[in-house]
Order: sequence, then C-alpha cells, then structure tokens
Amino acid sequence: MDQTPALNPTTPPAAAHATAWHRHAALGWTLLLVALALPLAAPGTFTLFLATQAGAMMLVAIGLNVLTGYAGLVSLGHGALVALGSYTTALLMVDAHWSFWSAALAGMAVASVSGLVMALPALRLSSWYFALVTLTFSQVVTDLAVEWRGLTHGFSGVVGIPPPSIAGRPLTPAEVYVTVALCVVLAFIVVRRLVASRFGRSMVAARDNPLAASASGISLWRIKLFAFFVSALLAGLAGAFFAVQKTVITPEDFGTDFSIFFLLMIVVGGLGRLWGPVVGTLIFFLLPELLGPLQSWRVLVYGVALLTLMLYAPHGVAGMTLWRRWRAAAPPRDAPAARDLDPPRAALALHIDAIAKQFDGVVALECCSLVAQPGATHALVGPNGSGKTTTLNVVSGFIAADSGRVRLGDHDLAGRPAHAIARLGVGRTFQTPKLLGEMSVLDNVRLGGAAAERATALEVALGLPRSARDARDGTAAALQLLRFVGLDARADDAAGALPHGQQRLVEIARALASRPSLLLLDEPAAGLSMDELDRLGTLIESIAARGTTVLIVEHHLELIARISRSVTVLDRGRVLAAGTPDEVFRHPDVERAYMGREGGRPTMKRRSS
Amino acid sequence: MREYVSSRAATRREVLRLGSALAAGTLSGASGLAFAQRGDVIRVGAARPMTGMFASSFAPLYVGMKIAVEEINASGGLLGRPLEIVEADDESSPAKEPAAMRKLLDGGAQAVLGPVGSSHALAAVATTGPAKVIHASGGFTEELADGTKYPYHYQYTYNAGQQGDAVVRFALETLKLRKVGVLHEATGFGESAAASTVRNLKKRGAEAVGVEVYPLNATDLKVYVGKLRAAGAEVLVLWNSAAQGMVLTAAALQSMRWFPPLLGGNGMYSNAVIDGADPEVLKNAYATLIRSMTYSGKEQPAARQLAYVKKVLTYPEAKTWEINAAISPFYDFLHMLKLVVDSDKRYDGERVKKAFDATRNYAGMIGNISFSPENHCALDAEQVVLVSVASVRDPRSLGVFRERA
Amino acid sequence: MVLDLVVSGLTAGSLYGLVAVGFNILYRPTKVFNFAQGDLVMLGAMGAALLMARAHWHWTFALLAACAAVGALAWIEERVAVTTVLARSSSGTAWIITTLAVSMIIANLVGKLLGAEPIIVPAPWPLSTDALPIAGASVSSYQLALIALALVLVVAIERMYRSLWGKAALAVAEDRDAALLRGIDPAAISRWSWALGGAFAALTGYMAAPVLSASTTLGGALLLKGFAAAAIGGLGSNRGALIAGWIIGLTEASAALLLSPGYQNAVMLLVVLTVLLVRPGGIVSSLEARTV
Repeated sequence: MDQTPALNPTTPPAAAHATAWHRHAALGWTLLLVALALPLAAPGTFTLFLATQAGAMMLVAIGLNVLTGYAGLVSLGHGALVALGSYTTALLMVDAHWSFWSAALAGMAVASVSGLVMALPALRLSSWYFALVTLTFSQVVTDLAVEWRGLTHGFSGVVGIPPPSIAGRPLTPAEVYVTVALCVVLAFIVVRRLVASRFGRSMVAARDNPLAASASGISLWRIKLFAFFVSALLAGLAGAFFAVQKTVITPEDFGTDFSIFFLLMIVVGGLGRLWGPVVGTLIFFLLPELLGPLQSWRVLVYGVALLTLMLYAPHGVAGMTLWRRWRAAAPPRDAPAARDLDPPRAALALHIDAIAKQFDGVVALECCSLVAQPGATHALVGPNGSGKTTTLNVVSGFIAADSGRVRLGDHDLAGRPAHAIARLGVGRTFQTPKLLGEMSVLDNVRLGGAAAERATALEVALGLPRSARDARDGTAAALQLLRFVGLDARADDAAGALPHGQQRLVEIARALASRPSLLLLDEPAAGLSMDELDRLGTLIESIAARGTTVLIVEHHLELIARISRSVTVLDRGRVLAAGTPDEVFRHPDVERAYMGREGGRPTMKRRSS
Repeated sequence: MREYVSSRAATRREVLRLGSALAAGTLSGASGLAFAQRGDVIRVGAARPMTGMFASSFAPLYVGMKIAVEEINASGGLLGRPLEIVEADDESSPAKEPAAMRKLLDGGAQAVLGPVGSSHALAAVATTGPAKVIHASGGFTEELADGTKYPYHYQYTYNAGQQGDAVVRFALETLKLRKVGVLHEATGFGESAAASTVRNLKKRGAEAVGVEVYPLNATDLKVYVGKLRAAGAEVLVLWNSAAQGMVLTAAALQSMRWFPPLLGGNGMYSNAVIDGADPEVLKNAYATLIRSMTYSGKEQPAARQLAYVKKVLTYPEAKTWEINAAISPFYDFLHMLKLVVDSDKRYDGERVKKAFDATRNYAGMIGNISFSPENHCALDAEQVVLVSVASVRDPRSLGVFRERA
Repeated sequence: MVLDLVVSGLTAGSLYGLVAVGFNILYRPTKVFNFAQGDLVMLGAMGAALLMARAHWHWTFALLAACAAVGALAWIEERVAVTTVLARSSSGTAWIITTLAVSMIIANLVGKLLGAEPIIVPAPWPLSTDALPIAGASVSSYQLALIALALVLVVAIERMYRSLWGKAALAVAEDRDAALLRGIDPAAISRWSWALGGAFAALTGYMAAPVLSASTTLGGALLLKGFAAAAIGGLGSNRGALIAGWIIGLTEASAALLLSPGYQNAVMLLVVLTVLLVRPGGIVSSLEARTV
C-alpha cells in the first residue's frame, strides 16, 4: 500500500487554519467561475456548442463515476440511459408539447427506472458478466428505438426539437450553456456530499471489501441499486440536454461506441476520484481541438497518447500521486471528551443449538452447541479444521447452517443475511483484518457505524442539518472508539499503512461502532507481539465488562485462560468439552486432541500460527 | 435514347436562363447573409469523415469536389477570388454532425457540402437549415429532397424513392416478372428504399411477396434469402449501403444455387463481389445508376462524361470506388454555385436559393438538373436507369460506366 | 430448411466460440479482457486475404504468415499495453484504456490503408462454400468442416492446458505469487499466452473469411458475440465457450427466421441473462469462484 505521511505534528491553530481554508475556497470558486465563463466569451457558435455538449457529457461521467468508480460496477450501457432520457424528453416536447423542464424530469424518471431494471442482474453477477449484460442492454435499447417506430419515429428519428423556454421565451444558446453548467456544478456538489457520507463509504466498502461491508450492516444490493439510481438520474438529465442541443435525435446516435466512450472518459480522468470525470471529459473534448493539422491522424495520436498516459497515470489523471501534495490537510480536531466506551444497545445472550454444516461431503460442523452470556467472554478453541471459523460464519450469517438454531436474545438468526444479522447487533472481525486500505482509519471505523446514521440520501444531498449532525456524531463516536483502542493519533492515516497489529485494533473498533450486543473475534491474537497481546487482553476484558457478549476464537490458551469465563472445545466439528478454562484444559480428551497424545502432559506450549 | 451531350452553346443558354431568373425574379431585400466580400476568399465548408473506418470509403465522393475546385480556380475562381474549401471531420457519426457544421460555419463557410450518408445528412441539415446556409449533402433519403422542409438543402443525386420506382418499373416492364421479394438492411436508407419499392409495386397493381430485414452485423443472409424464395419470389431486390450486404447476398444465392434477377442500388457496385462472386449471380444483377454515366450496346458514353471520368481516374483516392467518385454530388453543386455567384456579382445565400429553385434543365455532369421551390432533388425518375453490374468488366466502362440493361 | 438453420447457427456459433477461446487464452494469466481481440481476428482475416488475393500465396502459407504476424502483434500488445500497466498497479483498470487504445490504433490504421472494402476469400480446396447435393438443404462442405475444426481446436487447446506448460499457465492464473515460488515465470507465461491467443485469433479470422468475407468490419461483428460466449460459457472454460457459442449462434439463426432484427438482440440478452442467473459462473463453472 502507499505510505501516506502521518499528520504533520505542527498543525496550525484552528482559527488561522479556518481563514486559510476560506481563502482557498474563495480562490477556488473564482477560478471556477472564470473557467465556466470562458466559452461565453469565445467568438462564433462552435465553442459554446462544444462546451454545452461537454457539460452534458460531464453529467453522465459524474454519474458513471459514482457507479463504476465508487461502487465498482462496470457499466457499458450508460449510452442507453442517455438515449432513454433523450428520447423521452424529445418525444414529450415534440409530440406532446411539454415544456423542456417537465420533459427533462420525465426523462430522468424513465432513465432511472430503466437503470434500476438494468441493475437487477448486477446484484447476482460478478463484475465482467455484468459489463456484458449492460452492453447488450444498450444495443437492445437502440434496436427498440428503431423497432417501435410508431412511438419513436424509427430511423428518421425525432426532428425539430425546440430549445428550452422559460415563460414562452426560448433560451439562447448562451443561456442553455449556463443552465447546463449550473447543473454540472450542482451535480458535483451533491455527489461530493454523498461520497463523503455513509453512502460513499458503503459503496467503497461494497466494492473493495464486500465482507467487511456486510459485517458492518450494509446491504450490498441496496447500496448498489442506489449507485445505479444516482447514475441513471444524471444520465437521463444529460440525455435531455443532448436532445435539445442536437435538435434531431436518431437511434444511430447512441451506438456501442457511445457507451464505451464514457467509460474511457472516467478511467482516463481517474476512477473513484471526485475530479476524475471532470478532468476526463475536458481531456476528451479539448484534445481533438488542440490537434488541428493532425486531424486525419487524430485517432492514431489519441491511441498512442492514451497508452502513454496510462503508463504514467494508471489510476487516471486525477489519481496521479502528484496531487497528494495539494490535498487539504484534515482540519485539526478537538480532543474528544474523555468518555468511557458506550455500552451495547442491549445485553443479549447467544445460544447456539446443535448446528451442523457440511461442505460437499466434508463435515465441518456436526453438532455444535454453546451458550455465551452477556458481560462475559466465551472462547471457542480447537485444532485447525475443527469448525471454529465455520461456527462464527454461521452465527454472523455468512454461511447458512444445514440444521440447528442460533439465537441472540430473542432473535432467531438462522437464515438471515449477514447484513441483517449485523444490524441486529452482531459485530465481527476476520482472521485477516478486512479494512479498506485507501480509506482513513477514521472512515474505516465510521463504516461500522453506518447502520446508526439516520440521514436519508436526499438530506445528505441537500446538506440538511440531520446529515451534518450524523457526520458530527459519527466522527465523535469513531474518535472515541479509536481512543479506546489507543489509535486516535492515527485517525487520519490510510488504514493500509498501519502495521498488522494496529489494523486488527482498527477492525475491532469498527466492529464496536454499532454498539453490538455480540462481538465475534476470529483469532485476534494472531501475529501480535507479547506487549500487544497483553493490551488486547485488557481491551477484550473492558469490552465484556460493559455488557457485551464476546465470542472469541483463539489458539492462544494463556490469553483464553485469562480473559474467558467459559470455553468450548471443538474437534472435527463436535464439541469435545465445555466449561471454565480450568476445567476444560485439564480434560483428558482435550489434552489428547489438542495438546498432543503423549500422556496428557503438554510437551511444548503451542505457539499460535 | 437521346444523349445528354452538352455543347458550349447549351451551356451559354443555361447561364442566360439562370441570369434572367435572378434579374426577373422578385428578390426581397438583402438578407442577413449578403456577404459582399469583395476582398475575401469564398469559402465552402466540406464535412467528411477523415478518421474512422469509413474515411477511405467515402473519400472517392470528394474527388468530384476536388476536380470542381480545380476547374473553378483555373477559370478565375468565384468573383475573381479563389474558392477555398474548409474541412471538418464528422467521424462518419451522425452525432458529431452538428458540431462539425458549427465548426464550418464559424470557420467562415458560406455554403456547405457533405456529409455522406442519409442519417448524417439529416443531422447536419438540422444545423444548416436554421442558419440558412446553402447545403448539398450526399444523402439518399427522399426527405432531403423536400424543399418546404429543408429549404436550403439540395440533393444532387437520385434518392431512394426514385430508386424504388426505377427498380419496380424494370421488374414489371422489362423483366415482366411480378413476384418481387425485397431484402434490405436495417438502416434508414434500407428502410426507405424498401418502402418506396413496396409503394411503387402497389401503385402498379402488384405486391411484394415478402420484405426481409437483416441487421448490419449479420453473418449469414441465407435465412432471409431462403424465406423470400419460399414465398415465391421471382425477382430479388436488395437495398444495402454497406458492401457486406451484397457480398453476403451473393454468397447466399451461390450457396442455394438460386439465380433470380437481382436488382438494387449503389451498394451493389462492390468490386470485391465482381471479382469473387459466381458469374451466375452477376449475370442477372442490375443496379440503379444515373443515365449520364451509362452507355448502351450502340451508343458510347458521352464525351463530356468520358473526359470527366478520365480525370477522376487520375486521383488515387478514387481507387476501388471509381463509380462513386464519378457520380459525386459535389461537382455540379460547386459549378452551379460559381455560375450563380459570378452572374450575381456577389454571394448572397437567399439569391443563390432563388436561382437554384428556378433552375430548369441545367446540363450537369450527373444529368439534367432541375429544381423547384418544393422539389430539391436534382434529377427526376427518368434519369434513373438500371444497368448491368457485370458490365464493369467491359473495357468500354473504364471501370466506371455501366451498360444499360 | 431446419437443417440449413441449424448448420448456419452452428457455423456462426463456432466462430463466436473460437473468438471466446481466444479471449480465454489471453484472460487466464493476466485477468485482462483484450478489447482489441476483434481487431486481432480482423487482422488475421485481412492479412491472409491480402496475401492470397494480391500476392497469390497458397492458403497454407498465407495462414501461417498471418498467425505468426498477429501472434507477434499480440505479444507486443502484451508487453506495451498490459504488463506495463499491470506492473504499476495490479488492481487497476488502466488495461481497459490501453487495450481500447490498441484497438483504436489498429482499426484506424487498417481503415486508412485498406478502406472498408471487403475481400472475398474462397474456401481452401477441397472445401467449398457451394451447397452440397443434399436434397432440400443448402449446407456447404466448408460449413461442416468449420464446425468440426472448431471442435478439434477446442479439444486441442484443452489438451494443451494439460501439458506441463498449460498447467503452469493455470497455476499463474490461480495464484501468481505461488507460481513464482514454484519456479514458474509468470511474465513469460503471460507473454506466450498472448502470442498464442493472437495466433489463435488470426486462425479464427482466417476461418471466418470464406463465410463472412474479410473486411475491416469483421472484428466488430464477432467481438460482442464472442465476449458473450466467453461469459456465458464460464470465463476460462474453453468447452464452455464453444457450447455457449453454439447456443448463441443457434438462437441468432432462429431469431433471424422468426423475429425482426429489432428483437434479435433482445432475445440474445434474455438468453444471456437466463444462463447467467441460473448458473452465475457460466455454463461450465468458471474461474471466478465466489469468495466468502
């Protein structure tokens, strides 16, 4: 992973920093306005036309970036969504004499509904199959635009699309440009807000680490549908502008190349970066104009230029490392008020009754039962392959048991999907820490608290108070947790830059963010030094002391002996022994199975692997 | 059949007629487009694909433009100033046409020629129309000939409607066959040409036994041809613009060993097919062509056209599609423009339009050109004839002319 | 009529399947989808056609030359457009752009030099594209030979993957680092896989030429359906690719008979969706196992 330098220890005082930020913001806005106004000053109609077109395409790119860049779903069918927006707007304006504004809204609606339909297969297919489905979908839309000629006027297309008008007065091209520019700015701001909120974090989690996402209570399919919806909405709006600009739209305007073009734009600009789609669109619109005399060799020059660009900027222009110097340092935070760890939302006991699981003939679990009480740690130990992780997976919902029951308090967990179980109050960590390496430590922990945030997408988009409150409270809670595990100094570092032991602690903090009733720890001690082991033990004891039910899978018998109230030993899928640590470790069966067969006396302390 | 040989005397007559149309016509006050640019170069914009896969396929059509520019500038240019062509790349994509048109207009173009392709032309006209710019495209669709809908656009070629008519006439009157099967590609051109065929059949009391549509990326046309054969077709009409359609149709007919008369449009002139297809297929293959580029058993191609074609053949980009180069719509357009502008002593878009609309029997390279305010198609149905595709092998054809059927 | 349909469908389907196999060969060691695959197929067809038509080479030499040339081109593409970007960032999507760029460059160069004019390629003697004397049907010997050859090729490729080199390639596909530790050079495997994939694409193009005629539009016609065949068949599975190709070809042929072109792609989409939703890994389950 890339190494991000730790926060500069000599951060300026908050007040001076704020003024500096405001100055930067003012400068930024001025530059933006100047840049946007340039096309208006150019002579002739071509520049303005091109700029308006670029603006419309930028809308699509921004939307596609949300879908492909942030949510990781490669869609090669966005041309179809633009086509749907275009056709709806055009037909309503020409055939039904609607005004542009209502027709455009209708276009956005049609595009977003179709986007959702196109999204449904995505929920079950992996990324490249999905790309194929979207590509075929886009061809189907073009075909139907021809086939349903009664509605769409077939090959002749929809002609004579009037320009948008306000109160009966048609807008001039300059005014249309201003409208488009405004929409682009608004779209950018809305997307920026969404990306910075739990929606953005959830999308990135769904893309990079779906297990971590599910374990944090995020429904993968819902966040994917949401990403689709947003991108389709923007594509539909762009389609409306496309129609009034071109004044004639035909089915041939929206071929396969059109869709692939958008993908090209956002990858060159930088996938998953806010400025990526803006930069990408500008490059694609400005470059041809700069080539002038080389016109007929243009595409060749293009191809070579793209190849070269990707060598030096594999993450796109906006993803180039040289921008890191310009990234605003995170604002200094007030130290959180010293507060103890929040207790779980409810103190619930875990009951596992006789669960069994078979994988294609290999019996992982035969008849596993255990009880874990709130306010205490229960350990699950056993040789490798005894079914410990399988048990955790069954409880947390990543695997469905063949038979048996799992209850958390009064809730029956069997058969529920992982994210639903997480929302019922179950947090877990994994054998290898599943963090989002490029996100900050703080954001990783906030991911865990996603379920607790209340602001809806609309509120986030509009920047309403509830979303600001969510952000504040969420950050404060996350900082508190980081303080608890001792990592608040590294809150703004990239999670991937942390050493293994610290990553593990971050994962625990994330699991605690939703104030779970049940905390599942999968071999948390693996790879820790003696010092870290000690601190881990203390940590788990405090967690349990707050009323959380802790179920820990471990090999470190000393740690277990120290922190657990009760232990269950598994061997080849069955419970070998259960009871207090003392009872269990002296049990002859346990000694034989776990510690070696020589006379029941341990010959060597087992090191954890 | 009379030859349309245009003597010098006839040309002078045409000039006088145009000039009087200008003088006698009720010309309204100068429109905003009166470019009294005495010191300036006259610019004509050309939209053509310079990149993309079709760049070299469409290049031949612009040879006619080049020859015209050469001739015009050699004889003093327009208003004593050289005629300049401003080019814009439309990437052979209808979506790029509005931008290309705007670029040309911004670059000072006072008239526009191109693009090639019906849907491209329709997209381009949407921009030049409101801008009131004289425009001659290379689109075959009937719509483009509508002078009321597209008042500034002129179609210097025959259109799909006339082709349908010619083909039907040939089938019914010459071949005396009534059972017609229509196969067309799934494009605007294919659809409109097929519609025209069906319409004309109905008009003459016959019916198409079947109409089959094939997608552009079809890999095999046997299914469609088979269906038409099963429906009892005695004549097969093919409407394609991409050469692949002709190649696959020939392959299907060969494979099925069915050799009905095959009629169609410009898409049938693919040299690849001539060289590679079964002669049985070609024996009965006839396509539409403008009369001026044809000869018959006894008559030679006209001298003027012969000289022109020889000139065309000297251009390397005309290779493999010499016939398209020869029937380019842009040659006559530029010459007519010169005629009007020179006799008017200035460039005024509205006056050009009026003059064009009043044109009757101008002896163009492509034939007798007439326009009216409602009809902006240069040719009439009489000038569309069916020719034998295989006659390209005849040395008399020079690779361009064809023998009339 | 039905026999015609079936044979037509299987012929086209075999071609799609072969394009898909080409995809698979390139995909395995690098996990990269070559967007320029269609252009490689087209180059193979055009190259062989030109050598035969203009230089009057015998078809065997023309074919070998085309395979060698396109194989070399694919080898270069791998070094320039794939390895270099993968080295920069293994999880990146930059290869989408670079392979697309290569596709752009090839398509444009060929378009400029050769135009869109198709070249008719005769079937190699003793095969022909004329109908065999079977009553009522118009099936040619070339079509039957093509279908048979496609089958043979897939079997051969699968055999190849069972050889030592093939197993090394599978190992690299499975876990690059582990393969490295076992003394396998993933870089060399990638390069040679791409060269092989390129040669295979050229062969596919050559086989397609008598049926489709060699033109610059050949690639586009086959690319999408080839991609579909690869996906439905299960990425990485070659027999799946061929079977999927046949399914697509047959569906296409029946749709041509029964439906207007506007619905043909819709039918294709339905087929693709149905297969993928019922068997998410493709017909023959793919390398893309789901991880829990």
